[in-house]
Amino acid sequence: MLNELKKLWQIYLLSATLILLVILILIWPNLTKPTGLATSRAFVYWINPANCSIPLEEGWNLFSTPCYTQEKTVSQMLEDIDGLYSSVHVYIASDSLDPWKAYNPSLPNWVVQDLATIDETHGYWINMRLADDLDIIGQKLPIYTILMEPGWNSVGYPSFTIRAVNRSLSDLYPYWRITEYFNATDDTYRIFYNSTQSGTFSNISPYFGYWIYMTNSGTWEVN
Amino acid sequence: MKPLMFFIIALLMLPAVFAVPPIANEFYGSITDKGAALGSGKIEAITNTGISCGNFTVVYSGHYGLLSCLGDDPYTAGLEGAVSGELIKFYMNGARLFVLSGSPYWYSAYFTRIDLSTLAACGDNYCDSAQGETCSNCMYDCGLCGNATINVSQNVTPGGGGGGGGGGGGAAGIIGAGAAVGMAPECNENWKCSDWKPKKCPINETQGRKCIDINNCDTKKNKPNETKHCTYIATCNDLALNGDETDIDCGGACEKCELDKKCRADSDCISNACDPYKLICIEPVVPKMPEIKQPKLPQFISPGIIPCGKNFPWLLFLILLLLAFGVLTIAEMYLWYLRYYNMNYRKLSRVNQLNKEILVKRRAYWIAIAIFAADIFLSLYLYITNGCPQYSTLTAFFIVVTVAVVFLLLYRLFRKFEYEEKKSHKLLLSMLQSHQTKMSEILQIENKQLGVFEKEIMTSMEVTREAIKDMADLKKIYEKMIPFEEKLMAIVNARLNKQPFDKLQSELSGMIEELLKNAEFEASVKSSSTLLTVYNKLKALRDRYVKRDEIWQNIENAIASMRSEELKEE
Repeated sequence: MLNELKKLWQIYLLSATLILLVILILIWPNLTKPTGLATSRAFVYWINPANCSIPLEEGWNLFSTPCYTQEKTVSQMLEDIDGLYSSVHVYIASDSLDPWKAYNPSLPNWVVQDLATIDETHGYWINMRLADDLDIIGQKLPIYTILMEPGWNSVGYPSFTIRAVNRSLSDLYPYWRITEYFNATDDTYRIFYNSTQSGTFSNISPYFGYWIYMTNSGTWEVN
Repeated sequence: MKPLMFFIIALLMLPAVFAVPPIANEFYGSITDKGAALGSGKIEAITNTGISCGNFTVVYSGHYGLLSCLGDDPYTAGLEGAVSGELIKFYMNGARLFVLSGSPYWYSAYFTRIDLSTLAACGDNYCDSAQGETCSNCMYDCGLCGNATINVSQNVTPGGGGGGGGGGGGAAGIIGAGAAVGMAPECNENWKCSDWKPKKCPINETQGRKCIDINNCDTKKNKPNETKHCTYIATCNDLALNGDETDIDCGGACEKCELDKKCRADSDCISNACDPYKLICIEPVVPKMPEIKQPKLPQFISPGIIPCGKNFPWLLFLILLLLAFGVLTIAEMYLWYLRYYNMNYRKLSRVNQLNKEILVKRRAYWIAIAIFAADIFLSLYLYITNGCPQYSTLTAFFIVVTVAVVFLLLYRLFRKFEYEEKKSHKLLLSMLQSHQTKMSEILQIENKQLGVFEKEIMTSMEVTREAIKDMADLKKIYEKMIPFEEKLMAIVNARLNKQPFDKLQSELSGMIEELLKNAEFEASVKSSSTLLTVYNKLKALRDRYVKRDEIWQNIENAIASMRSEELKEE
C-alpha cells in the first residue's frame, strides 16, 4: 500500500519538477534583465550598479554618497574633483574625545590627517573652490544600518529614494529631536522638528548629509 | 506671567536649537625643544577660558597635527570648546609651550599652522618672567615699561568669519594660515578646472567651465580655455528647427507635423498630405481607408497581458498551470481529510479506502491534464496568432497536433499508472482471500471449543440441579434456568447428530441476554455460590457467541465487498 502511495508521489513530484524546470529555462532571460519580473528583484538587488553625480556648490557643502566602492580613501573618492576642493571634514559622534576628522590635500606630508576614508553612512563637509559635480561609479547596496549616538550625529543618506522625513526616520522615533541639512545654494540650514512634525523641509533626499540630534542611542536602517 | 516668561526664554533659546557642532579648528606645525626636534609627547590645546579643546600625541619627530580643537556646542548652555577668535594655549606635560610662529586663535574649519617650542620666545603672547622676559627686553609680550601697556591680543584681527550657523559660515581659502615658510622663488601654475557645463552640448554649441590655479601664482601663462565649441545633436524637443526636421521639432525623423506646419513630403504630416507647392501640411484629399478591425480577444484576457505576437503570455500560462497544480493539491487535501477526519471513510475496509482514493486521484489527474493541455494550447495559440491572423491556420494545426501528442503521452502515462495500481490491488485481494480462509479455519476451531464449553455448562447445570433439589428457595430460583439447560441439551444433541445448531445457539444467546437484564434474578442468584457459578458461565457463553458472530460478520462483509469490487472491475 505504501509503495503505491510512494509511486503516486514520485510521479507527481517528477512531473512538477519537469514543468518547473521548463518554465525556469524559458523565463531565465527575463529573470536576468535588470527591469525584469518582480521575482527577479532580489537577484538584481545585489549586482545593481549605481552612478552618483553629487552636485557641489562653491564654498561649503554637506554631502553624502549612496554609491558603494571598494576603494574608499579620500583621495580616490574625490579624484574626480581633485584640486577643486580645499578640505573635507566629518563628525564621528562615537569618538567623543576627538569627533572631528579632517583631510586637507595641501598640507605637508608629515601632518597626520585623521580623515582617511569616505563611506556611505556619514555626512561630509567639503569646502569647494569651484562648483562641480562629484561623479562616483559604484554599486547600490540593499541596506545600511547606521548607529546613532545621543547628541548630534552627522549621517549620510545611502539611498536613491526621496522619502518623507518622519517616515524615513521612523526607526529612530521617538529618540530623534531635530534633523538638519545644509543647502549650499543659499548657504542656509533647513530644519525639521520631530516634536511638531514640521520645519523648513519635508523630504530626505540623496546626496545630502544630515545632522540628526538624538536624545538616546538608536539604529537607523536605510535601503 | 509665568507662561509669558517661558515663551520669552524659549524664544531666546531658539537660535541655539538650530545650531549643530561647529567644525573644529585643526592645528599643526613644528615642535622643538631647545632648538631640537621633539620626538614624543602629548600636546594639549586649552582655550583662554581654561577648557581643554583637543590634544595630539606626537607621531613624527619635530611635528604635530592635525590637532583638532573643538568649538563650543551652541546647543548647550555651558562651554565645551573654543569660541570664534578665542586665544588657544598649548601645553605639554603641564608646561606651557611657546608659539614661535602662527596665530593661535580659534576659528571654525581653519587649518592653522602654529610652530611651538618649549623655550620662551619674545612675541609668544606670554610674558614669562621666569625665562627672563621683561618690559625692557620683550615689550611685545610684557608691554611698555611704566604706565603704558599694550594688550597684544586686542590688536590681533582674525581673518574670515567663523562658526556662524554651526560651521557652515567659515570662509574658504585660508588653508595653512601662518605657513609663510618654503615659498619657491618661481611659481609654477597648477590649473584645475571644473567639468564642462552644461554636460550636453547646448543649442548655441558652446560649453563653459571655471579654472583656478591652486598655486595662486597670479599669472595666466598656462591657463586652460574656459569655453569651447561643441557639436549640438538635434533632438525633437529642443524648440528649434534643426536636424532633418521640416518644422520646429516635427517632420523628418521626428513626429509628424500638424496642419499648416512646413513639410517636404506627405509622410511629414499627420494628415499624410503635404501641399507640393506651398510645402505645408494640409487636410487630406483622399479619405482614409477604413481600418481593418482586429478580432476581439476573449474578455477574460487583458490585451496588456498578451502582447500581439511579441511575448509569450506568461501570466496566463502560469495562472492556468497553477490551477492544474491546485486541482491536484485540492485532491490530496481532500484525501487527507478523508483519512483523518471522515468517519464513514475510516469505517471502510482498506481495499475500499484505496479504491476511493484511486477514484479521487483519477478524476483530479484527468482535470489537471485537461487544464494543462488547454493551458499549452491557449498560450501557444495566443502567442503566435494573437493579432497576426495570417499565421492562424497553420499554427493552429501544429498546436493541435502538438497538444494531441502531449495529451496522448500523458494518457499513456496515466494508464500505466492505473495498471500498476490495479496490479497491486489484485495482489491485495488475493492476500485478503487467503487471510479469510485462515480465519474460517480458526472459527471452526473456535466452534469446536464452544461445543466443549456448552457441554461443560450443561453438566454443571445438571449437577447444580441435583445438589439443590432439597433446598426449596434455591430450587425456586433455579426453575428459571431450566429452559437454558433444555436449550443447551438440544444444542449438544444437534452437534452429536451433525444437525444445524446455529439457530439454537442464537436463541440461547437471546435468552441469556434477556436473563442478564433481570436485575432481581441476578440479585437472587448471588445468594448462592453454586447458582452464581452457573449464571456466570452462561454469561461467558453469551459473550463468546457475540464475539464469534462479530468476527464472522466482518469476514462475510469483506468477502462481499471483494466480490462486488471484482464485479465492478470486470
